[in-house]
Amino acid sequence: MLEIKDLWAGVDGEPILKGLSLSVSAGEVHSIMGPNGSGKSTLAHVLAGKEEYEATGGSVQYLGQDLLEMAPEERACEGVFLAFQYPVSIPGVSNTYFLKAAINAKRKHNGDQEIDAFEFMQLVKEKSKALNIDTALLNRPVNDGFSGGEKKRNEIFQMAMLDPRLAIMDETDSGLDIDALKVVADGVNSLRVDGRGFIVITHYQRLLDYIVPDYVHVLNDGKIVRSGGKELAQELEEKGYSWLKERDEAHGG
Amino acid sequence: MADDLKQRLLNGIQNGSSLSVRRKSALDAFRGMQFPTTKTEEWRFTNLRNFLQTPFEPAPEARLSLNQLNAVEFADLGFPRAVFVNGRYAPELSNAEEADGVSTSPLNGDAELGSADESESDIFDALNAALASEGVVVRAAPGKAVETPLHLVYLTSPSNGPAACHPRTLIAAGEGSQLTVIESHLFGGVSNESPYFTNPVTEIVCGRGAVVDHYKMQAEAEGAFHIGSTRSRQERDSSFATHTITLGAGLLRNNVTATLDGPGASATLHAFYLATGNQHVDHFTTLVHARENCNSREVYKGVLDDASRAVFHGRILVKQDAQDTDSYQQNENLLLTKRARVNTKPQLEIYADQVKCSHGATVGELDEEALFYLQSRCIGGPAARSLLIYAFASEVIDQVKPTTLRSKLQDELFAWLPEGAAAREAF
Repeated sequence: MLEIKDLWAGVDGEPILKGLSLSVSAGEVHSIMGPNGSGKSTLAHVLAGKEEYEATGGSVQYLGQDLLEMAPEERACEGVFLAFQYPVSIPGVSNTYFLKAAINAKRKHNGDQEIDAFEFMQLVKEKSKALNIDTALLNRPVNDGFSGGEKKRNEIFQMAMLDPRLAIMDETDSGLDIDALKVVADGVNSLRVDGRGFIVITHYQRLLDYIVPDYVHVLNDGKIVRSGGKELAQELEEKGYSWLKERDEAHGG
Repeated sequence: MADDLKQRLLNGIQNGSSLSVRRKSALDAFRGMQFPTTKTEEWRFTNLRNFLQTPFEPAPEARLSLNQLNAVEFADLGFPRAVFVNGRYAPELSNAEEADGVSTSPLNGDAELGSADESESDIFDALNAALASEGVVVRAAPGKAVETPLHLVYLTSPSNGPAACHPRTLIAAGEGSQLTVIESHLFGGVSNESPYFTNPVTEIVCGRGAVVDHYKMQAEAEGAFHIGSTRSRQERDSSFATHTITLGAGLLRNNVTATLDGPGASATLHAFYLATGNQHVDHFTTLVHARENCNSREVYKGVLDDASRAVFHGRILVKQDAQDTDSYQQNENLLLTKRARVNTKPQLEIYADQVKCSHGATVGELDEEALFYLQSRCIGGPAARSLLIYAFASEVIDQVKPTTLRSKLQDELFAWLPEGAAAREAF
């Protein structure tokens, strides 16, 4: 569903991704690991369409479309979902009604009928129950005054409500204690279905104990330098990222 | 030029013995004062040049049918109302007597005017005191909780030439009473650009333990100059809130002076202003903490589009006796264009030593991070911007308690906001 070929992208003319290639098929979970500054978050933001990240070379095909040509909201309506590392709070907008507006924007884009109030509340009930989300959270303004854990759970809840085809998780595990991590991972696992692809970006192997990926890729200096199965994550856990540096030096920087 | 205008504004006024002492002294005061210029400290950012060049005359009598009245946005909120057209009471359009527990009477013996403070503070107040011919006194009897809001509609319907009106309102809430009053300043004419001048003064006196919720809804025409004052004085343990909603007028100056004059009183000053085109909106507020143990909360929020300009001046005076004052002031401005401008200034004068006073001001554009978050949740383009603009305003709008007023305000805002209907889904 996603085909990234030799992607170059950066901010303010400074390249961060330097020829990244990655292919994700429906039903697969790909984990992207790498040291700080390797370009993990840049990848997430380029795929979601953040304006200041400019793609300067290569291509990204998503379900046969040129993803880079699409506006961020268009990508979202077509099923790309980014779970933010730092979700933004929006005081004054209730979490629930925000999602109703989001779902209807998506339905409108797809030429579907708007969701009615009853159907929407049923969906909220069903998804919040499945993900074990406290309904009190739903009535509060979007992420406003939420703890780190609550924000991440809310991202997963939004993901479940919007039913994406490609879910990108940007360091969803950062700042979470082990209990919150398990809740988030359970949520993601419950959303693993055949038609949906995942890109799980993380710095630590810890998350992958709970979300077991099909593939692990190591990102360094804007490129994928190694790919493998889930055992690669274990290897990284043991060896850390210092070998990348040695490898760089061996290759002449 | 200014002297010409002063003379014109006074056209037709009776001189001599028929005037009350109070009115006569206001007239003398008005004659003796000068219109402010930008050299006047309190008027630094508001230039009255266009106002001074407009040949205003006292508004002529005008008649409106009930249908015409109800066609004016915000005129019909479903509450009992007292209606004034061009400064004159219109009994055939009014049904304020149906309001239970509250008495309204026209201003005749003006003995009680000036109850909320000692003196007319500026030339516009003096002009109002000298010329306000018909206005309303609203009284809530002691201990009475008036459930239905009372709606005071001040409508200007200019016909030939620039008209001037001087509405006067006195709200007296007796000890332990509860009262909601909505004051609307609206336009009932045809041409939106033709200039007219509204110069209202409202005084509010809250008796011991009284709870008063006051709204000043201003949706004048583009051509309007609206220069007015709201003054309140509160006794012990009373609670007063004034919500200033500013949507219209080419030039607005709104003075609010709230005096906490009894221990344990609390005051809330909320405002929302939306300015577009070349509108100029100037809010000048003064909170006087005169006694101990009072608290005040002031939140002024504005959205500025096109080449509009806003001025906020928030003065907080904590007198020596006002120990244990708790005061909070916030002015937030959202600029939608590069051409919109804001001048905001807090002014704290504290003479007591046990005081908690905080203040803050922001001037900014829509948050790019928030916009991207919305986009990533399928909401893009104008709808995303509109959603964030409304969310910004909602802190004040949500505090508007009379349901019909709140929903009309929401209708108005969402109608103005691009793709407002889609944004409204989120609220």
